[in-house]
Amino acid sequence: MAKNTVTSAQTEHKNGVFVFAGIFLAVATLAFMFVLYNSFTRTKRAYDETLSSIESISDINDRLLTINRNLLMIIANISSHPEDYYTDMERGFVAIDKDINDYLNNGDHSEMELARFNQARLFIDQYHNQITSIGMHMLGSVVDTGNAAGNLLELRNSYIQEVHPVQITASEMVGATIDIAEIETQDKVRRVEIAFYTAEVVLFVVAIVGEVAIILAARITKRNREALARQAAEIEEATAKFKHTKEKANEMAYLNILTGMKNRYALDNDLSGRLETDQFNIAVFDMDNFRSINDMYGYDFGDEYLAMLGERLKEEYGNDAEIYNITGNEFCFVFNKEVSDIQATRIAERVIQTLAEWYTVLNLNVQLTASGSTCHYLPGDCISVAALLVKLDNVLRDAKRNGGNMVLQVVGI
Amino acid sequence: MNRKGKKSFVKRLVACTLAFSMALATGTACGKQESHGKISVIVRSTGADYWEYCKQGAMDAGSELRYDVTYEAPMTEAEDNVQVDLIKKAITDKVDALVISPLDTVNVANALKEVQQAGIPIIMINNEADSSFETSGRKICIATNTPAGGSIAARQAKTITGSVGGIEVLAHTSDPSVDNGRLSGFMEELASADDEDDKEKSETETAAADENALKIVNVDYCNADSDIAYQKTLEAIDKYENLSLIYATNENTSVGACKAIAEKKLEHQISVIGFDSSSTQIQYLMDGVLDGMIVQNPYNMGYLGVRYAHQVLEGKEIPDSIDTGVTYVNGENYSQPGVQLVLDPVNYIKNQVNADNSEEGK
Repeated sequence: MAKNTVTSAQTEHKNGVFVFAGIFLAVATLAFMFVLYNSFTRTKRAYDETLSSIESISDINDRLLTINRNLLMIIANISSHPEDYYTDMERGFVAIDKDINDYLNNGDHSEMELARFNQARLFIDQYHNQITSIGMHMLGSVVDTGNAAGNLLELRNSYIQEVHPVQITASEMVGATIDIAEIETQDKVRRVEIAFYTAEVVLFVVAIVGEVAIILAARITKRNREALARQAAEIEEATAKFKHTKEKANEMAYLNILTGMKNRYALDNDLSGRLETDQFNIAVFDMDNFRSINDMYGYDFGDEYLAMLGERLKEEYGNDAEIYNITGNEFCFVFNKEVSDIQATRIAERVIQTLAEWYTVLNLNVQLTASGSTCHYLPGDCISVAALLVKLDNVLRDAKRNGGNMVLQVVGI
Repeated sequence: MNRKGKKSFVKRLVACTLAFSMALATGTACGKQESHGKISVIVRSTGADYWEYCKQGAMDAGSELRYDVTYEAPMTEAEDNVQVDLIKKAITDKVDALVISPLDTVNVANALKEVQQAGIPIIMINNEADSSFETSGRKICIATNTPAGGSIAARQAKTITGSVGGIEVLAHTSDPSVDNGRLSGFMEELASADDEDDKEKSETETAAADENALKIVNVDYCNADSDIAYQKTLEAIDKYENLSLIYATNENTSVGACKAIAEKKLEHQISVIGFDSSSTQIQYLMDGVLDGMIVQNPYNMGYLGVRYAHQVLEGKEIPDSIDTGVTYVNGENYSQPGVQLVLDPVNYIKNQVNADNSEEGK
């Protein structure tokens, strides 16, 4: 019982380790997958956002350059239709407004980036205002006076001194916005990189811990299995021992200690099943006056004498009957089925003679007569072995009363 | 190993793993933004708003581009030895780039040669170094085109006066290297305008009209002192009857001129065009005494100085010189955001950030 408790406790512990390892691995794997997924989405988003916002901003710078080129064309007085360039420039500013909206609507921009972008917008607006006023002034005077030469000189100065620096500054601020966006994207990418490495390290550590846990679990399992096998062997051994002891005890119960012959319990055991069904011959023998031997030579001597007698009977009649030593000096013969009633009677008489021979016990020659009683048992004669023995004993006592050294037949049960 | 010991071993192992991962994850989340390097910004003097704006620009670019920017300057423009020490300190500090508005002395020029020998790129802002500094590599200068400032003032003068009357010029210095073309630019533009006028009006206009055409009647040198400028203005008012405009070439002379005009209540008769900006000037602008001022963009000098230093360090193409431009500020455009940004970039940016934040709050 105690052993069983220990085993179940071990099993529980073993299960706990496996369950823990399983849950831990599952959680770690999920966490890893989550980090990885997050990293991927973040990288992708960061790239997409930067790409689209940088595209819009770069467009702004390209358009500013185009506008500047158009302005230079007007100043250079190449075309006879400067108003075409002017219209083109206005279209450029409309496109820039669209780019600005695209940029503001795309992705999330940091406070710093937005502040810089707002400054860029201010300079773009300033540039736009200057170009508008120059355009109005110039177109107006061309139409009004038809004399563009003086205006163009002034326009050139104004362009170099006032307009161009603003365009340069606007472009620089737009470029700075791109730089900020790029640097911040680099940061994002770096953070994602670190997240990747972290996830990898965690996975690596988890794998090692998992391995260790599995190795430990395996070792525990192996040890438990060995312990179980050892216990099973012990139990088997104990069971075998117990069985042997039990058999021995059984045997002892059915044997007479002195003569090593079967005792009365054995007789009872062997015969009780046959009383209702079988027909057999049975006889009991007893030494006449055996008490005198005990009185004269002591019990040890008597015992030795009896042992010798039992040995002799077994030798002589072991083939004809099963022999029991039912009390101290009383022997019972249950004859084999092959032995007929007459043969049984004859053998009984020979047994008396065998017992009445001289025996040398502890260097002393002794001789006693013996009496016996026989019975032809028929099915259903007695209800118990004890009852049958009583009948036999009564007849035996009659024989002794009549002087002994004779065999009498039990008649009319 | 007994069972209990084994259990605690597993526990410890798991605990270590978790702690390790947590530490890594935390490290990732709180990862500090790494600096790309050190940039030293050294200017001519401290105190003036002009240099504060320049500093703000440099610092903004530094935080945007992830540089450690140090900003230093001598107390006054007379202390060229202090600027030399600052330059030498930048060399020993092994800065990645030097952004400098050098004092125009040989000492500073020599110190800059050492910087160049140390292989540190130099970006000049506001002005170039003394002519004895000859660079073997590229000379990069981010500054105002000051003659252009003078030119613009002249064109505005023409517009304001309708090209009529006399101009009193209050120059803050007689040294052309300090003046940097504020006066010459003004004079050249005015002369070319005269030429055009001559061509246009040559035969049709009368001699009397010619006499009344816009021209400089007097130039006074005021040694950057507002009191002198004030006195000279009063004198000019008395002396020249047809005086229609005063051109003052720096902050102090502008303030002196405005003070005199305001006292005499002549703001409707005589216009004033000043140079640079200050709160006093802005007040005169609001009162209608000052008609306009030519404002430089020191914020952009500082900002682009650090930005170009970054681009030089990155090996990118940049131009040799950049004109950060001047803005003509008058009562009309004063309140425009672009003008406000130029006039007071520090407060403008601060207010803008606050406005953005409160918008997000809503």
